[in-house]
Amino acid sequence: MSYALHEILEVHELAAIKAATLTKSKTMQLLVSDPALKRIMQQDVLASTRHLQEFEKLLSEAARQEVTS
Amino acid sequence: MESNQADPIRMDALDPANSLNMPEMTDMTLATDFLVRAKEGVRNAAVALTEAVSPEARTLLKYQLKQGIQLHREIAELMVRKNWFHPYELEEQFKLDGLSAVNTVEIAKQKLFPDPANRKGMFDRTPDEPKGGPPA
Repeated sequence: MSYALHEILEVHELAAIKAATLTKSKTMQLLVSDPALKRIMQQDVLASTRHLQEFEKLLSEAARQEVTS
Repeated sequence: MESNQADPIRMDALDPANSLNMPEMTDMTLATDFLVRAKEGVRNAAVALTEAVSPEARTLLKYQLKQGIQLHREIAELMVRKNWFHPYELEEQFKLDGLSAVNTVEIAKQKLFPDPANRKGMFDRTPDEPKGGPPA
């Protein structure tokens, strides 16, 4: 598989935004008192963590491709 | 928001009247922030998807986009149910936005940390002392 440079940049930027959002969701959770809202935030933290791991996998594959090509 | 005082926020920062309905107001503010972030997440994912070419990246972004849309729907439904968000009643939403604008301005006027918070002189060395390298 091969990745284009511009899509890697796009994914990289998305990962940076995702990390900031994840931090916010995680910290804001402690201030929320409504159980339903808290539950959605917890779900978002789990989902965002998974998304970030997927981004990381894709980015490291792209880095390997850069090195070998 | 029922209160006996004419304008509880105009009292000093420590007045307990300011804590009236605080948990609900906090939840509302954080939910709004969350909704805006979900919305931006959907937009970011969609924009990135139009830039992607490789099937792996496209699949990943499409999947995350779908999850983002789902998240946005969940938050919006919760906020409508809680009356924090009125997408169909413009008048109501306008009143709510006006109220939060006034609250925000009043909070901005408050001196939240009146005591000096400078910790200089409490350490045995200066943390920011230059180490002789080139200036940042």
